[in-house]
Amino acid sequence: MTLLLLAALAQEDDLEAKFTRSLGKVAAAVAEASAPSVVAIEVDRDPRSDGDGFNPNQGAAPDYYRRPEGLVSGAIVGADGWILTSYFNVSGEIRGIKVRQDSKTWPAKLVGYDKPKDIALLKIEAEGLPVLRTAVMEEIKTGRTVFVMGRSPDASRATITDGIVSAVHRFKESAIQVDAEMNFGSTGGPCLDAQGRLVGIAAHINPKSSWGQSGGVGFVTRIDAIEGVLEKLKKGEKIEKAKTPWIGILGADSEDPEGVRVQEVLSGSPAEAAKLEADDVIVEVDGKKVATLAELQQTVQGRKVDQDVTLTIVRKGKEQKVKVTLGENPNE
Amino acid sequence: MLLALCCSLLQDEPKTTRQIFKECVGSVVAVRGWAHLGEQSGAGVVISEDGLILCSYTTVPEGSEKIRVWFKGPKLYTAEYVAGSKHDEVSLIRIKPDAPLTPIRFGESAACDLGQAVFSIGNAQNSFINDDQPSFQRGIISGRYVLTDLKSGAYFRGELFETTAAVNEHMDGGVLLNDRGEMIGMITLNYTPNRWMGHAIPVDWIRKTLDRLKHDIAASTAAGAESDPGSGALGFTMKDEGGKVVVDTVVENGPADTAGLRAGDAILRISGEAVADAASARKRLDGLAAGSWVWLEVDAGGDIEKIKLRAEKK
Repeated sequence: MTLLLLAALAQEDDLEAKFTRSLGKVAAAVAEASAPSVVAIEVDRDPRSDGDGFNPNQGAAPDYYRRPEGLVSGAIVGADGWILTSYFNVSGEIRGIKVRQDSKTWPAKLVGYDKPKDIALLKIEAEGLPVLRTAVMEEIKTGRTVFVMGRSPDASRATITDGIVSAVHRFKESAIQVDAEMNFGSTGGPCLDAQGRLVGIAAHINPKSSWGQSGGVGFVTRIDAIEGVLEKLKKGEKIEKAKTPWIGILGADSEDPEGVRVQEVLSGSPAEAAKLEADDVIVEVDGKKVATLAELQQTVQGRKVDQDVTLTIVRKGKEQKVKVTLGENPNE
Repeated sequence: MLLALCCSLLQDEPKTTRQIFKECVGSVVAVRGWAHLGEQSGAGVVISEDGLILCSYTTVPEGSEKIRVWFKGPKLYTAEYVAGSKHDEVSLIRIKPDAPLTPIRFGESAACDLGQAVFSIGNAQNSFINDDQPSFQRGIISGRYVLTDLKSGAYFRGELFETTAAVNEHMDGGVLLNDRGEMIGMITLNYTPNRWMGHAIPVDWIRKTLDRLKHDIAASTAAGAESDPGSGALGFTMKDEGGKVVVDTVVENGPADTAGLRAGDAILRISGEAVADAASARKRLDGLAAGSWVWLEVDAGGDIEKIKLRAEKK
């Protein structure tokens, strides 16, 4: 028994030694392969107007909370000059943006952004740029190894930090949380899986919090969430706030039948269009039971504006299906 | 030829984190000295069998006095300043060891890849000096670039390694190791507010600096250094009783008395190591230098307690 245990431990040691070296080798390979798709971004900002999400008391704050001068990072996502970065990096009164890599410099234009996702899309006049492959997002689960790359403080030198996925459902499903060190310099840079595929963009840096700098709590806006808005951003859309889907009822928990009893159908709402009535009890959304108002809200918020859902309701003791096209909540 | 090849292959076998720590920790020291800015603490590394130690100029600038060096054990030496180069952030000090030391093996920093696994050993927040615990950290090389601004009192402007292996205060002068346990950099506390990461001066640069300082080093070897801080006493005696090592007498107002050790307490461990008998425990504690800290794990009438003692000069 003891011998077996010792043998198992020896194997663990062997695995641990191999793990450490392999991690280094994987990081080195990812860094080498992906560095050409990582750019530095130089932002000329009116210092009187620092960007959204920034601490207004930063004048008195220590370096830790202050947006430093110098370069931030971005990732090439289009061979013809499309570059993603964090919205935070280009917030404020911007007088000019340049994209840099090694000795090359391109003037860049801020084409569109999605503020809730903390994503901005830049365009430079270039062709044949190296584009990162996209990760299979179904594989990006808690515990997966990831890397965050950047190109700051030196435009000619890429940086890489390693970590794992700490959590997946963050920022209304649009982001994952990672423990790879992220900071002012690497925000906007790509987060990559162990095969060097693009998982998302390092975003949501929080200069107000104590973990804002290399603290092991970092957020990455998922590439599939970005792809959902990318075409709009390319057309110049500037998304200031998130669209929150809603049905448009006031309701309360119902015990019999178990579900959500409609108390009032709001005027002009999707519920009104679908002819829901007061006293209807919503018991399912797309065949999935909803037992409480909180569950109904959570389910709806996981869907998108303009998406059709089928509600199972109990009206006057009889079950029936009602199709509702989710609208945008005007109150959020 | 075949033997050389086998040796080289064996040397390149990946090592466990624990193996790297065990192989290297004996070559890493904590350093404390008095200089114009007051008392400074940092780390250092043995670079010769006869007592030459490389450390940071931030900890031991020229003109430092009362320089002390801690080895894991703890074992305390006094040291003398030998030479230094402020702008390279390098100081050399010398102790007079009672046995040949194990110098750290230098690697090649030019051969290091972005992303490769690394380790740092140092005196994070005085873990080494206060608790006889050299701090050990794992990470990767996360960047390599030039820093021209100087922060945290650093002096070296030039190309640095950036690492995700944690670097904290009092680690300046500590080592950055590759996964073969070779020194590839010396920790500096300089940083950039764009990154807030740890940094190390590449060992290839350190090697050049040492070469420039070789005449000063040779002169110091000839002169020698007085390194004995005096032996220390903890103020208690021990005896074997019923298969245990038991405290026999405690000197009134001595270190043991002040720390709460009482006659009859059974000593279970000394600085984490199990105690076999009174003779070996005595041998272990008699070797302590004045000023060294030691942890005792004792059974005080059924309560297991950890007591920290500082050896007083005999």
